[in-house]
Amino acid sequence: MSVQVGIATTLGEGEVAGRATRIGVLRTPWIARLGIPPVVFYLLLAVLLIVLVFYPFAVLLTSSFFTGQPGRLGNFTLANYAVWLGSWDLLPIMLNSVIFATARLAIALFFALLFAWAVARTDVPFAGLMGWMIPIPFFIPDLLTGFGWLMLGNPQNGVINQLATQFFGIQGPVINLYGWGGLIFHSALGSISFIFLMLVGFFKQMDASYEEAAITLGASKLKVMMTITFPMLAPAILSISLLVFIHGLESFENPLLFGNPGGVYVFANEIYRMLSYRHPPEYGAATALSVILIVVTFALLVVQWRKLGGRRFTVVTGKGYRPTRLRLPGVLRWSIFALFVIYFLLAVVIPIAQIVFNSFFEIFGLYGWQYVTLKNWSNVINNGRALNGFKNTIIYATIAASAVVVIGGLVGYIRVRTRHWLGYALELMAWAPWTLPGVVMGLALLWAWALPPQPFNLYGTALVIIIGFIVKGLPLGAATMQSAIHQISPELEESSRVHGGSWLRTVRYILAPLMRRGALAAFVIVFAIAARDLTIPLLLYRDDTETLTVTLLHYYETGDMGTLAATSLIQLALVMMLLALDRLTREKEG
Amino acid sequence: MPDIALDNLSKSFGTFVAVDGATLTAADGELLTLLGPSGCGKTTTLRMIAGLEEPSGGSIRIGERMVYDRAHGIDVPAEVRGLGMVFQSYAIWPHMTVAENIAYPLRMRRVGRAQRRELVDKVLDLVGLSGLGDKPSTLLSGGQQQRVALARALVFEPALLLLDEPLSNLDAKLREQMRFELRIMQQRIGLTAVYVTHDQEEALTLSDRLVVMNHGEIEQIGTPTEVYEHPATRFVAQFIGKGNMIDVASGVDWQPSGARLTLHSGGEAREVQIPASSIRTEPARKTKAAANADLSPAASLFVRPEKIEIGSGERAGARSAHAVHLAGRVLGRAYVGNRAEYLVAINDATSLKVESSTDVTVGPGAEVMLSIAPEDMVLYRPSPQ
Repeated sequence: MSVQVGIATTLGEGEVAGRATRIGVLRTPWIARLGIPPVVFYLLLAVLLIVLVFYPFAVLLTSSFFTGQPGRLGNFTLANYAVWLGSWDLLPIMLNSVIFATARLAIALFFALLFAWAVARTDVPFAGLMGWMIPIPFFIPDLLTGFGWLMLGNPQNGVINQLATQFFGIQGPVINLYGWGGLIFHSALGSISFIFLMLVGFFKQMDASYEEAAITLGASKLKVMMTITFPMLAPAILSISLLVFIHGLESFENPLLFGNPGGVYVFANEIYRMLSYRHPPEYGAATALSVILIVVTFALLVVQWRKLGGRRFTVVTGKGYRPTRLRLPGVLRWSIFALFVIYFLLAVVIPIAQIVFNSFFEIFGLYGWQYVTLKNWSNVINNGRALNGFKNTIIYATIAASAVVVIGGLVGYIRVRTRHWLGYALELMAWAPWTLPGVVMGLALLWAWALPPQPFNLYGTALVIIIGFIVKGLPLGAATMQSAIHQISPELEESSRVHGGSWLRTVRYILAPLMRRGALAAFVIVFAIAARDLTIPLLLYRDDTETLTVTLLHYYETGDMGTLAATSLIQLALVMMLLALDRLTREKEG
Repeated sequence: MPDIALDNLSKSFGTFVAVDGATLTAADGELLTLLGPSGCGKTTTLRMIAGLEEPSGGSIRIGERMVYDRAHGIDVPAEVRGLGMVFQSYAIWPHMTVAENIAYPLRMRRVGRAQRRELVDKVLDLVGLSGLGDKPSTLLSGGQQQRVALARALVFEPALLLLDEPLSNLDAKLREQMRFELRIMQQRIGLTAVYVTHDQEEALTLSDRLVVMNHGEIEQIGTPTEVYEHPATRFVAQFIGKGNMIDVASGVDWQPSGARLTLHSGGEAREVQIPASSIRTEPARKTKAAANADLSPAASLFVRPEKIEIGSGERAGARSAHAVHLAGRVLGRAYVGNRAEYLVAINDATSLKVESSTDVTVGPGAEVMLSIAPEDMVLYRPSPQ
């Protein structure tokens, strides 16, 4: 009624020139006045992604046909491939990789499925706690727990073997983690959390009425699980399995720590061996082997895409209702819980405790009151190497994670909100690095950025490591951003546009605040990926750009276990920080 | 308040034609409803007016201002068209309070803080939400969200109000109440409004005029009475209200004064004479989708259930001296409060819906006589293709 009066008075004034409405003034935003079609921005983004992702890949492919080394291509040759395809040398590497990836997947998948199903669909005790704790190892670098287990279970002076000798008089090792056993044990342990993270969302989202329908028709709980729950989730399980299998083929840290001393060589540690343990480094052969590995993983990825119909996988951030839970018999409930406790002890508590313990002793394995010392800690603080690594890791990971949030956000926005075909192309490019294994990515970046003339030659700079982290974090980071945008109804933005908000103001006032949590989640994921990564800095670092993971490997290789332990704990502090941040992103979910 | 005119407005997505040459006007202060089944192009049309969807051709004029004209390369961005819009999901921003939501269009217009507060309070008053300004918008009920969405679209006194199925997310009772409130408010302010809905009852009760759309084409534009009483096409006849559509594929004798046809009932053939004024020739369909719509290519006879009188046995009602009498058997009866609905078979292939007051009571299986006045029937003649 009062508004009615307002309108009645303004009506008499007539329209003032240039005013679109009766109250206030609207102006065409400057960016619209420039008249640049949006496709120009899409293309700019596409060029950026091509430089980041495809350029190194192309250089890698090209250089595999040349005799040179990073910085100098040399002459055309097919000899690099002849090394592998003209001999039987490739066969054991292929075979080892497949056996390793299969065993790792089979064991990890079994436990991850069991845990995901129990946490999401049953009345297993402390389901909430389990759901929170099972993913924790994902944030802890394999390198760290690997060191812990090697201290415990190496055949010469592993703590467990020493104890066996001391208390039971057993001579010779009771446990030997060098070679196949340790390799499969530790890497399977580490993959459970990743598979669980990917799967648990599917289990949670599944409508309970499918299972309830089966129960009313007389199916037992086990029957329901085997005939309804798992088959319905089969496509998701299959496609995640393929992803994990691919990652098994590429994995580096575990083969390096457990494979090398046992003489087990798979793709990644073989490539690294050619580069680091041969003098001069065999760049040609390593590059050719990298290309072969990419071909294999790419073929598998195509299969995975077909299975999922292009829908990568769901990154679950927030919401979702609580389905009714299956009631399990008490024995089963507590057995599953016991398995979880054992898993968590093996994956986190025992190796970390060993590292903490060891950080207070000067000489590894000599554990007596008289040997307790803080020397390792003063070492870490005084020599500056670890602190420098810590600082570098934080800076590089922060920049890379921020960049991925922005790039991934733009890609996700174009993909979700426009019908432009470039959206699909951009999404594909953001996803492509998934096929590039870490060591290969490091090698590709080394080739790519050592090649161009100044000022584009980034060899040895911090920037090249940051670019590596961006590329490595892009697939998961972009997927997370995309799913965050997906959850925002387009009408929330359209409403802003219609009511006078330009595109930029809509982003600032509507989109950005609504995406804050999703963006933080993406940031944390990419930061975690960067902070735990060894493969990229390992091939690209110089003394002043060394990251914490490289420092750790250095102490391991020189056998300085005390300083290694103390430095590991600094890395662990970083992990704790991330976990706290991650907690923050999930806080208000309920 | 400005009027609005769409001229030959079109939109296609690839080969799919969503809106095919829509030409219509809404007068100053008029509430115009776009009505049709889902996928008919009504929402696309509204979104093109708002500037949220770029048309493939045609023009849009709001008041004196051309906001879109393909031929002259005019395309005013959505944010400077100065329209108010209520979305189907309400699109209330969850990270803002009620007052912040409503003040948003004012902030975008650089209206000062004091005036902003004043205007927000006024409009909150208008929609009956006084004092709720500081409430977080996530704590609102469906009806309250609807009011906030309306307040946000009204607060800056827009040139035009657009409403995209604003009541479809409310429960039936609230929907009816809001429908009247909305209409009263629009009339009181004298606002020009374009309203989209698939609910024909809503459209009939709310609109000054309605535009019935199907497969991207406009079927009919008219007042609610015109559209209900004189549906221009078979689609409109069947979409609005209830009706019987009888295929009269063969034996129609087209004459200048009307048409003669035969209906079969109770084993007998009955001659029916339709005056020329009750014959409608369907327009030629432009789009492929519309041409392929499942409308029989033959002529059809249309009559509303309440225009059919029902009498038991041989005793026929005598509404009109020259009424057509059809013998039939009751298949089913449904009681709907103040009246009853019957399904009556007049031959093996045809059953008619009949509505009558409850003082006639015949049960299933009863033999009845139906009477229809010829002027209550409409004969649709397919367009000569």
